[in-house]
Amino acid sequence: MEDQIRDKLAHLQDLVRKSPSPKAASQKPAKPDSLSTVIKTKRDADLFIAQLDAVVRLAREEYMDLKGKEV
Amino acid sequence: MVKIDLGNTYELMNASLDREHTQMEFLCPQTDGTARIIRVEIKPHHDPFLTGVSNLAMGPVTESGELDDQIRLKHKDRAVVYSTLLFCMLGFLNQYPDLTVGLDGSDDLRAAIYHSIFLSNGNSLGDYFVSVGLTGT
Repeated sequence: MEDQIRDKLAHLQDLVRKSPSPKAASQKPAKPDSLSTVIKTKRDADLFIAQLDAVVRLAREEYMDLKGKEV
Repeated sequence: MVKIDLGNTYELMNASLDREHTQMEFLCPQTDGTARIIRVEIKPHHDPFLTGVSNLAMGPVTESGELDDQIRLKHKDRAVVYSTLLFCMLGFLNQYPDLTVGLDGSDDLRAAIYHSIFLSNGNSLGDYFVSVGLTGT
């Protein structure tokens, strides 16, 4: 991670300490989104998360391979 | 093409980093010379089966203090707006690395914009995020 970004993240933590807590958001009915149209049961969610975990793991490996080749 | 630069973002006015409700706000110049307060909110996805997934929303703050993610604004610099959005997301994931953030967009146009941002900035964003594109059928 670039030092500049690391510094910005540290500055963000300072801002969080100084900022007042936000007001609790009003409870509006959740809007349907793309995921809610395909995830109807716990099994659907478990399958989705398992697929997501597998894809993330693969993406991480590909990124590490790419970075290894650049070095 | 929106060029993302996490080092070039609007100054945040306030920020909270809570697992159940993260909120950050910044002043965003518009093309007409005015500026709007833009809020970024990250909350757990409403689906009770999807634990560990958070949803991100962005939009101006209305008079009633709510976030409006439907309105179309004319930002002076879209690249800085989206860079700020992604920096907010980075701040959240840096605090809660076990969580996943979903960037769906409140409509198809916004979803397409987010998709294209990750496609065209994949190399630089790959240093900070593991991103997965999902398409619906």
